[in-house]
Amino acid sequence: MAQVFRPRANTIARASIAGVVIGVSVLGLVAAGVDRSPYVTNQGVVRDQPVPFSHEHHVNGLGIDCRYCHTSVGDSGFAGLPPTKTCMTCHSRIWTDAPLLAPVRDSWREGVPLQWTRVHNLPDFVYFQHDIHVNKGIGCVTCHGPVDQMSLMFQQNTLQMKWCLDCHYSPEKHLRPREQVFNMHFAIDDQIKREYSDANHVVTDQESLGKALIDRYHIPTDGRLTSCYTCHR
Amino acid sequence: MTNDSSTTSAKRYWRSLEELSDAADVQRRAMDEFVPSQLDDPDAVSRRGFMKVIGASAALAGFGAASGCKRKADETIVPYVSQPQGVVPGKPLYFATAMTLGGYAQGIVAQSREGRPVKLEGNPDHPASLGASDVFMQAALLGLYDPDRSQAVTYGGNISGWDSFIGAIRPRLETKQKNGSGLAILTETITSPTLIDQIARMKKQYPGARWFGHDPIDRENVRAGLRQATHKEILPRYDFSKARVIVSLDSNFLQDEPGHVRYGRDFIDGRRIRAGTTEMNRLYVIESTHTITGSMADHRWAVRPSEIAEIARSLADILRASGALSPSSGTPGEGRGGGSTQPASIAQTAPTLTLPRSTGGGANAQARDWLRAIAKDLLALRGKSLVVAGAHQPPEVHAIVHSINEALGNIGATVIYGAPIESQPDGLLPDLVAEMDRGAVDLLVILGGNPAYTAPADLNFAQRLENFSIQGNADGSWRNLTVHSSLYEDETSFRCQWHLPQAHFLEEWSDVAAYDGTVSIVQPLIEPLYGGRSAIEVMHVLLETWLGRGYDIVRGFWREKIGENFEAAWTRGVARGVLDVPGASPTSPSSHTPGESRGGGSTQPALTAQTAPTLALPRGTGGGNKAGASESGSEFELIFRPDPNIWDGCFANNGWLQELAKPLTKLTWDNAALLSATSAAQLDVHNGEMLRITTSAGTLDVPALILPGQPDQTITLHLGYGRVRAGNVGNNVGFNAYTIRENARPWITTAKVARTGEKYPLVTTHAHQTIAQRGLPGPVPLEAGVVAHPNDENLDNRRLVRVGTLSQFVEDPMFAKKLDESQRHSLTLYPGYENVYKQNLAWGMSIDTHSCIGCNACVIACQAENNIPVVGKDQVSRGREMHWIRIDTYFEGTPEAPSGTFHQPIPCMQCENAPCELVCPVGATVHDTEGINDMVYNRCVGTRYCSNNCPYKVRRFNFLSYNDYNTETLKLARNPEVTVRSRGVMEKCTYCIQRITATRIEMEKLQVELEEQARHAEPAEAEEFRRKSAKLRQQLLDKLQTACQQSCPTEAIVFGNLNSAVDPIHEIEPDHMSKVKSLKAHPLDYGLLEELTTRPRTTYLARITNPNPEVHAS
Repeated sequence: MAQVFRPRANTIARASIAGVVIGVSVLGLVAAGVDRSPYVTNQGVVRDQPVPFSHEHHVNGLGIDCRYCHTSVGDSGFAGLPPTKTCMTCHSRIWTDAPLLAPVRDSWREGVPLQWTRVHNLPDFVYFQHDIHVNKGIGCVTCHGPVDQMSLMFQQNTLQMKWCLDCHYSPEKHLRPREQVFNMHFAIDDQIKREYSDANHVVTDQESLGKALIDRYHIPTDGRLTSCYTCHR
Repeated sequence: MTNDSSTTSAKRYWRSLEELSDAADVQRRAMDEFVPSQLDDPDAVSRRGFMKVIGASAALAGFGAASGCKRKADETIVPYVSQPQGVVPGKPLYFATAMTLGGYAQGIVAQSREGRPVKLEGNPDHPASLGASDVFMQAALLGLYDPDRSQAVTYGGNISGWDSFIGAIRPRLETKQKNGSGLAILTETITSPTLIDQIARMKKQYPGARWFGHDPIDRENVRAGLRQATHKEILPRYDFSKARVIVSLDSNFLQDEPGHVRYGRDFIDGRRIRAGTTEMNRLYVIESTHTITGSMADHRWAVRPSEIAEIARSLADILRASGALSPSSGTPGEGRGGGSTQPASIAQTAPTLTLPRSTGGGANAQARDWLRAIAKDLLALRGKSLVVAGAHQPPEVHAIVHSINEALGNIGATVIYGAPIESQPDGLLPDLVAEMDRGAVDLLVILGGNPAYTAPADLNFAQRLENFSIQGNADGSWRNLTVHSSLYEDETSFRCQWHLPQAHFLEEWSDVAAYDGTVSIVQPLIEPLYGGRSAIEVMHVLLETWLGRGYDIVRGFWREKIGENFEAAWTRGVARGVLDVPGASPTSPSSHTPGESRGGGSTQPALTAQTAPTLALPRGTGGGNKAGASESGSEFELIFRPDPNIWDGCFANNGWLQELAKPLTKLTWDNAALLSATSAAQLDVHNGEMLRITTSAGTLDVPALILPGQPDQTITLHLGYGRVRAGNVGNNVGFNAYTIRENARPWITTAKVARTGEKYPLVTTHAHQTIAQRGLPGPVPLEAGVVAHPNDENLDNRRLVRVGTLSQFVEDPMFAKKLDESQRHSLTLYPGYENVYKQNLAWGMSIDTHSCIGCNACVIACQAENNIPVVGKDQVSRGREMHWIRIDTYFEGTPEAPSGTFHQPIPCMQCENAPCELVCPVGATVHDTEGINDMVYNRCVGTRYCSNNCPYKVRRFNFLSYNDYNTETLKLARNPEVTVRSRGVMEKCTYCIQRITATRIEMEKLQVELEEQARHAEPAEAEEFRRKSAKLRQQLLDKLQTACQQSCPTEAIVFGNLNSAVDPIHEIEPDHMSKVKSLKAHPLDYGLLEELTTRPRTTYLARITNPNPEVHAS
């Protein structure tokens, strides 16, 4: 009986084995890549909104504080979106005829709320609380990025669990003084260094400032920040 | 309780008869948590079928992987147009309001989130609830969002509108204005001052108009009895806090009476055990069906209902005989004052007491001894005792009970009489029927209630109403106009021409009065979901023939009543939930209306002594029943009772209540004929076998269910089941007891009972989630729930329930702890956590089995708070109910005559060495730094290993997708702070982590804020800021409650921080100890299965009973 497999079949066999291994790995990598891609996370994706609101113009250009619109950010888990009335405090006087603002005027006239598309959308089993972060010295910029440079709003970070945990494991990397939370351009200057150095801490950089603030703001380092029920329930 | 024990008496405590007899099914359940239902054929899946499924799954997984990467759906954020003042987005608001049960108010504080009520709690300022609640209050929330509620005005079943209704009724009303007669309204029990005023005005406006009342659960007998005894229109309320000896003659005051939530609290406050306690109140219960009140008794005696009157009479006789010997009996005022000298004299006279005449009936020698002991107890505590009779007992019993309380000087002390809170209608349902038959009515407006369903069968009201509605004139027009306003388009609406959707109490402005007369304003939490209108608004249509706003009507009434300072009083009343009514009788339970009780009392003992002996035999009930009862055979005494879950049937469409395991029977989704084991044997029926019950009013087939503690020759039927127009949940559930209820004898009657031979699947949860003896070394008998008395020298049991007497406790306060042969273990599998636990907040819970009355409020509170789904009867039959906290009920003694009944609420124990955590392959259940066993839904893959390894059986698995993701209104009911779980996920009690987190965040914000201020302040002020911070944080912590704790009427559940203080340095009181911490140091504290070294954070306090030694002796 003639040989079924010629010698070169060996090569094919080896190549196939290698091919399967490589193929599966590549598939895995692709899947992992897709999972982390903006396609899934919406990172950096500008969403359609009823009004093309520009944070750049309002924050950078006009110097309006975050809390003028996001009123409950320090008191509640939800930062709050401004009611139409807040928009109309200015826009009943300026840009009163701008076509772009027609939905705002309609809302005000007819008493029907604006419907914004949520930009930072966490899964339903995640309970993020703005107030405690803001009160303990996590700046807006830390999570939301340079909002004052965004002419249209998008999500700066992945908002994936790994990204959350990076900070929950080592909060010192991102802590800043409470009064600097809403500062879009926070930098550690001499005054900060002086003010936050004490008997146990010499503040020279973010790391040392963060450690000083961990003590000052009683940030738990015993693992509570990474306990499951801290964010999931 | 040894290994070879085969007799049933070997078991001391048991949850079900099957368990007592070691039925195979129970054994199996005890060993294998996930018992397939009888309907599941384990062999149904062949190997080939299995491969097919696996192959298909693998193929689908490929698609799934692709679809799994799909992007999240977009969400929208909808801000206000103009944000209301006081609203902080994401934070709940709380509003005071009130609900009624049987007409009587219970104060509520409702939590509102983004404009929708999501949780109801008792109002701490309201005397009837004191911040606690019952199952009805907790479940009322689901009633609001019920998609089956009626959503439109209908005329003859077709959708119509309010304008058409007013157009139709206006001409009728205009004629009435001239000649008056023909207008009748029918209501349930009403306590609303505004509505009562409207009815009075209606009668003035339409002179012939008449008001009829029908409430299937009324207090007519109490009223009649007291009328007979005092010739006054009065109703009693009780002050259990002052009662040291309580005798309940068939009264289920912990569940059925108006004010029962308050009664529960007062009753338990009178018997709380703390270190050093040497006395507590004593409860004697003589009852005709086993109730939760009976389960709390120190002495319980099951008698047939007809015997109660005889017993009351005997008790009165004994007391009178001894009272004659008492030097001060003539003047109760002095008698109470001279109480200190009395016990001695009574002790002397008591042994010589004899029964003046035979106690007759079923009362035997033992009963006489009992009564003598009770009498002695009562006489020793004049003015501090209380005899209370069930509202369903005939008027004679209430008259006798009045004379007893009178003679004991209890009136004004523990029994407070007052003019009835509920308003008295002109007539009852039979009177209305007579009027209708006479043709004297041509416009019938039924406000609420469901008389076509709840009317006694022999009135045949449903048929009469239907005929009445379709009666025509000669010219083809309708002779009569019938209107029914109700929450559902129910049995009555179906038989009326017009149906008006009623507003839920969370949607309406109204007012109601509580058991003690306290008036609350009912304020709406939400706009009517389905366009409903309140009863007050419908009444307004009758008066004015146009639709008014409830807000204006209620305010208008009170503006007139209060007069000046109205606005201030109104604002305060609405905010607080209790309205200060000028000139009204004081609302404090300790006060009473002068002249009616103590003042008039001085003349009444004479009256008592003279009239009581000549009291006539009970009308019909007593004489007739006794004769029937003494006959052997199938003649039974039939007892009707409000259902502990769905009351008179008005909650029939509430899934939470339907699925709730009823106290004692643990029956779900049904009612049954409750009977004793002896009677069952006599009738040759087992649980679930049908009985045919025949009364003079009709015949009903009902499945039998044996209730330990039920007197022989009696059957108890709960009202409210067997509805056909309740809605999707309540239709055709259970058996309609109204179909055999008689008008003349609505509560107690006689019936012929026979078995039919058919079977019916009753589902009880007694045998579910059994804490079995697994994992213990050596051969152990399969005795779930077996526990030991202090005297038992038995190591092979689990000592789940620990019970002792007061004298035992006084002698050896630590007796319950000593039952652990191995004291608490210090071993831990999580080294390193010890220090963490000491530094942080450490959560713990203490559950007092001594205080738990088994009312189930915690179960529903948990369900509402934690978005727990309803699974349905079929799933419950497979042991898949989802409640995170359950109440295990243990009976002691024999099924024929159980000597004790004990309740034990079981939530997750939050073990420090949690067995569940070790076996989870994916780390979905892990420990946190504050000692809570975290259950992470998004990690769970559904192996159920954790549940298998849980010795307490507190983990619940979502076998199917139980949550309703489609019904829009039900979404509104959910707590946004808690994840809605899907299929394939394990869940369990979290100690209400959402509440903990909220409190912790507030505490930490406060701390940081005040410390910052301190830093910028002068040193002297700085210290002040730090102290303030510590104080405020401690306050927040002390206010933190779990849902079960908050709902508990008796404060049996206490939760909190086990570490001493939030801030040891700046603590205001250095020795401040949380309530839970002090309870953990309580001598009666014990943990379940501590020998397994689980180190549960939830521990229990043992139950203490206070038996009368003289009763034991006899």
